[in-house]
Amino acid sequence: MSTANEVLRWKERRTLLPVWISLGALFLFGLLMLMAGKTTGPANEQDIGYLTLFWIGSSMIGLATGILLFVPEREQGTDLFLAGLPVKSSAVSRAKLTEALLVFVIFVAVSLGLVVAAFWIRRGEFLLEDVRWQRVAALAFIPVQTFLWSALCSLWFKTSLNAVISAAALSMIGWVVISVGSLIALEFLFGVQESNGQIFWGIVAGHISLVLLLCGAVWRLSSVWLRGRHESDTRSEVASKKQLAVASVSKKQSASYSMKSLVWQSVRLNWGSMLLLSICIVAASFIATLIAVSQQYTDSFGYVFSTYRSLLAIAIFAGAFSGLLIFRGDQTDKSFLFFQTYADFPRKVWLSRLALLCVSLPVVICSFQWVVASLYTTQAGEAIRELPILPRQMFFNTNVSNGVLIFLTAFSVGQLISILCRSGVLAFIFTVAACFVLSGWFDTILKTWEPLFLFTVPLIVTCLIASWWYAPRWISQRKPIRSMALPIVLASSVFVACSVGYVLQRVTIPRNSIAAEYQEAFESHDQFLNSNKERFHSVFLMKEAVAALDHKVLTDEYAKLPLEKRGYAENRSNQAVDEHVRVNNEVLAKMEEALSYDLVYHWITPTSLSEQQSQYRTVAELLDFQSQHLKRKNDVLKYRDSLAAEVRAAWRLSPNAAVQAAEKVMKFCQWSEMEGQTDETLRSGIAKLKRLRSEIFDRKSKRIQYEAYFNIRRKYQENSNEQNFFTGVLFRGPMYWEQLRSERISLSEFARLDQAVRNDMQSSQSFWDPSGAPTSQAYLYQQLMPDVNPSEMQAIDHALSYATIRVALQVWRLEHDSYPETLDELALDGKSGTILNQVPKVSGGTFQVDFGYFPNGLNRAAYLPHMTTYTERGWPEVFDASKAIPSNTPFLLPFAGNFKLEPVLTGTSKNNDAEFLYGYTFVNPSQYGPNVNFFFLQDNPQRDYVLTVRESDSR
Amino acid sequence: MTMVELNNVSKNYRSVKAMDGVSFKIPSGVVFALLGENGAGKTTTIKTMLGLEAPSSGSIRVVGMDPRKEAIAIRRAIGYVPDAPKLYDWMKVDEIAWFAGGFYPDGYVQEFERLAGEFELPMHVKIKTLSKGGKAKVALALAMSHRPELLILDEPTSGLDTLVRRKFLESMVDVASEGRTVFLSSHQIPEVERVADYVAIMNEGQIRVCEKLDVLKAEIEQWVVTLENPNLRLPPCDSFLLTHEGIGQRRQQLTVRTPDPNALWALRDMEGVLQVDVHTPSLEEIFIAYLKSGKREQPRSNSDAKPKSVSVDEEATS
Repeated sequence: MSTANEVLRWKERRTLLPVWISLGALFLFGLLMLMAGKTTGPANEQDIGYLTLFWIGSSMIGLATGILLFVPEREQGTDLFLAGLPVKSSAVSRAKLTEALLVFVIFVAVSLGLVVAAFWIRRGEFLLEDVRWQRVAALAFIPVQTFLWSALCSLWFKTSLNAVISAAALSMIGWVVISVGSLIALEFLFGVQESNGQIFWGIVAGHISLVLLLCGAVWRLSSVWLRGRHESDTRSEVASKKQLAVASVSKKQSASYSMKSLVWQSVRLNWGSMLLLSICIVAASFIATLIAVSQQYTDSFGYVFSTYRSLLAIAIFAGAFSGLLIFRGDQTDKSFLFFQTYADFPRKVWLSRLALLCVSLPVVICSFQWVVASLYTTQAGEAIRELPILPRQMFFNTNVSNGVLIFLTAFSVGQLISILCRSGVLAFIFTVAACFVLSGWFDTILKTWEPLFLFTVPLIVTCLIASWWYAPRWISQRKPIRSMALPIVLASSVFVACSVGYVLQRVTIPRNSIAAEYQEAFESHDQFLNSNKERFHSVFLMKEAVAALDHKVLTDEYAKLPLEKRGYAENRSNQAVDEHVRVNNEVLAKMEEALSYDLVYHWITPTSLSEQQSQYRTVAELLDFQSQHLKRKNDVLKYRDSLAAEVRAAWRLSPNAAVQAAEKVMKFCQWSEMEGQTDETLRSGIAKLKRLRSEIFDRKSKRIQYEAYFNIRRKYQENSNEQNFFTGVLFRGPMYWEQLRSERISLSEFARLDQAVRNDMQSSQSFWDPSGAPTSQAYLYQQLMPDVNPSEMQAIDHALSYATIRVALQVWRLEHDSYPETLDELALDGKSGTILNQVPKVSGGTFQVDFGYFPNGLNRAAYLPHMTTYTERGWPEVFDASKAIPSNTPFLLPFAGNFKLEPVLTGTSKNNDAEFLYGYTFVNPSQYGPNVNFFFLQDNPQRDYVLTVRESDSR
Repeated sequence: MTMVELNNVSKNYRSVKAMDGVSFKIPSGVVFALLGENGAGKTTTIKTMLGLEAPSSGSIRVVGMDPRKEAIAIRRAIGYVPDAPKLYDWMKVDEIAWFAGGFYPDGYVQEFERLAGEFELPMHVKIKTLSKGGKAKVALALAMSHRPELLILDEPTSGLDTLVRRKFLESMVDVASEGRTVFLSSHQIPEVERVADYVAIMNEGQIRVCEKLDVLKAEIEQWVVTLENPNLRLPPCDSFLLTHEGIGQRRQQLTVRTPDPNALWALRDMEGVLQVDVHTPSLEEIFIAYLKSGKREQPRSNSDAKPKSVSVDEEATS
């Protein structure tokens, strides 16, 4: 005779077997797809990618196992059968939890195994010491908490849909709140600022507390879940619904009355789910916006969290679940059977659901959130505070229109699912699957720069027509297979026809579509290469080069390197560097040719900053290898050209163009001090830098259109009557526009700016800030060059000037065996002619001063301000002795200023054994203050500014 | 032995009073029928008896035990078939018997097989393929297979066809004849009338009457009075009147319980009264009379059964 526990566990296994089989197949398929992507893609992946693999899979399975614990019994009414048996509620729960935990653990183990396998396939061995266990441990709390939240919601809610929505939202919110809350608590209690270990353990402690709390709640509630079914409440609710609905469809009532009452009834039927969904959307959007805002200031999530993607996902999920709510309430037996009995005008029933439920609340909330978040994180940035701009941006911002289209598409698909699936759990699984498919679909469309409108509207219309077609049949119980198959066939055929039609004919593509132009270009390769169309040619070459990129050589060594060294070619062996460059020789040639064209930036996909960064890094990494290869071979000229290619790549491809380009330019300093340099090679280096300057500051370049404004601003800012450029435009508009034309701004950009300023003039009060704050200028820059900041442009200007002087100093040194006493000597007529026509200066908006040059060095160590560190003892400044410029060593600073001798407190970071020494500290006159804030310089070791550097010390 | 005893039990759901001072006793070996309209509180009463719901006040003893403290023991001693029983559709009949057998002592499955044979149930088919009557039979067999002392059936015949319903109810008499007690909750009054020994009528959470069916039928009469003049007012008989209804212009029907013997003669002798016919009402008519009257009678033992004064419903007489 079997025991109660045995039969209960048998029942659990048998009940959920089909679910686990289907879900497990889906889960494994998804994981394998992800894993395939991770193991075969380019080698620029990060650990977070693998962790996502583990995290997403485990969380999804945690959600499913938790939800399926109690809600299905309640929905099917079998809990009453169990309640009548002589068994304790806690015994039933224990059996359920045991089985669910078993399944959960198996799935988590499988996903963990796949992650490890992905690591192994990619890196050739298990490198457990390299795994960031802290990150793994912190993220592992998400699936555990998701499982517990789901179990709790399964106990709380009467329907699985509500339980699923709430569990998903609570899991994310709970995790974020605990993580952020723990940080705040640590800061408040202990003032922890820098210790990663303490922060980690603080967060872990917070999560463990939450897990224990949730465990307690689940255990307590599950031990009484079979008791306390408020049947009378449900009955009275159903009775009132029936009464209401009978009145609404009664023939005695007028048509308008019945419509009104049907709408009211549909609201009453679903208001709980609607409210829940709205709260979830608001909470998710709020968190996404919060992270986006913090990203603006810290850039800490740049590679991990894509705001654009998150908002896209929110729109998709919000749309799909709003759609799912349309008939979800009616799918329950009571309402469903009622309409089959009473309703003789099903179309009106359908309209009543459509009218209110799915168009009103979620659309408004989602659109609002989308608008706020996208405005805050994209071009308008600062302008969000300028309220008059808001309505205009709402209509013309591409992100907003994309968001609405995506929402509507997901909505229409969700609606179709809600009518086709009677089971709540099945409908949920299908909806989530549809969300993933749609997400991929939208991503593909956006990545290929296709118009979203073209590929979503047919789908929206088809799904709406399909549900319109099917709904009356479903409501009136006339639902043969044909009527279910037809909508699906219709939706699929339109979808397929749209795609095929586009590929075959491309008749519906707008003429100005970039994608269409590229498509045309790629199809006629030879003709295209000969056509000298700079734009297509460069992009085509770049695409071809990246497609042929071979990473295999690096794989073995990659796994053996510590994480922090993997990204740099300088850490690789000679063999790996040489082999990698040899294998990709043709790729490099194509890349360099492509990069010589300004319009190669069209190759960058405009979906998200992190993706753009990723694309740029693919190119930058290979060029870095080439430079390293040539450096080790001591091939001065080719190394120079490779460095120039790196600068071009940074300028034309990187989303952080100016700063990246400035960093690459600084490499010329080390190049100038290589062995084997001759007067001729060094002078060619100066010429190369000059060429790069002309390329970067070419006014025809899209990337430098900003510079035209910069010049105009400088010119007119001297007029004291005009507070800034923008007020100048307002006072003397036509003259400024003429000036803009003469600066050869492209017509479209000019029209855009012209329209923007004209509109702003009409509502100019927001720009007439008496304090003269630079909001308007920032706005103009944003309009023209959203991804390049004026101060960053100064950085690249500085870098070019500094590198030029450094190379010129080496020319002088070759000729004179010493450095000149002053920089001005570089521009004088020397033995072999003038080295520089004019010595570059440190230039700001209104000033020009010399770089800080010390040909004989100082008689004591010199300390720069950005090397200042702080100690726990409260000393305000401690100069890092290991980074000081040694005494009696010549150096050239990348900014202006002087040194003064004074006692300085020296030590190293995190070292409290500091001591006072006499040394020089940098004094920067306040008017040159901004010069020291170029953050690209802050990371450079100070020895980079020292002129006599041994080759072995250089990076 | 008293199988069930409810003493002034109340149960509130927020503002709704599902049970309001419910009291009754059920001796062993009888068929007890709890009658009431939908929403009268029958299911809540059963759930409090099973310990699935805790009463707000009052005391309950089932099979001599307190459901709040010994709910599991009570469920082991009784069989329960809920209103519209939901079983695991995916299980076969023999599988669900094996499943339920895990909670009861040995011999459960054998008894189930015997009962299934009696009910002509196929053992190796899935429950979802059975008809509604078939599912009801499975539920009943599951509830009876451990030979419970008390069988609680909540609306057991709803959805069953006439023949099955009749056969099923007759089987309840057999159960009672074995010394076990059957508690039926139903609104199928004519069916119940054939098998019930005791009847309780419940309305709006209150027990209107709880009595032996024989006694009830013996004590309640219907007088149909034919009047010469439609405007004639009958003499007051509040002490034993349950309902007073007009049938057309000149005829009036009075439902009375344990009337004063002289009252009938006085009525017949009254001037303007042409004829007074006396009928024995059916249980359904008694049920309706109690619902309409709104009267609530205190439960009493058989020995001290005597008429109690009930107030006249003004609306009924108007």
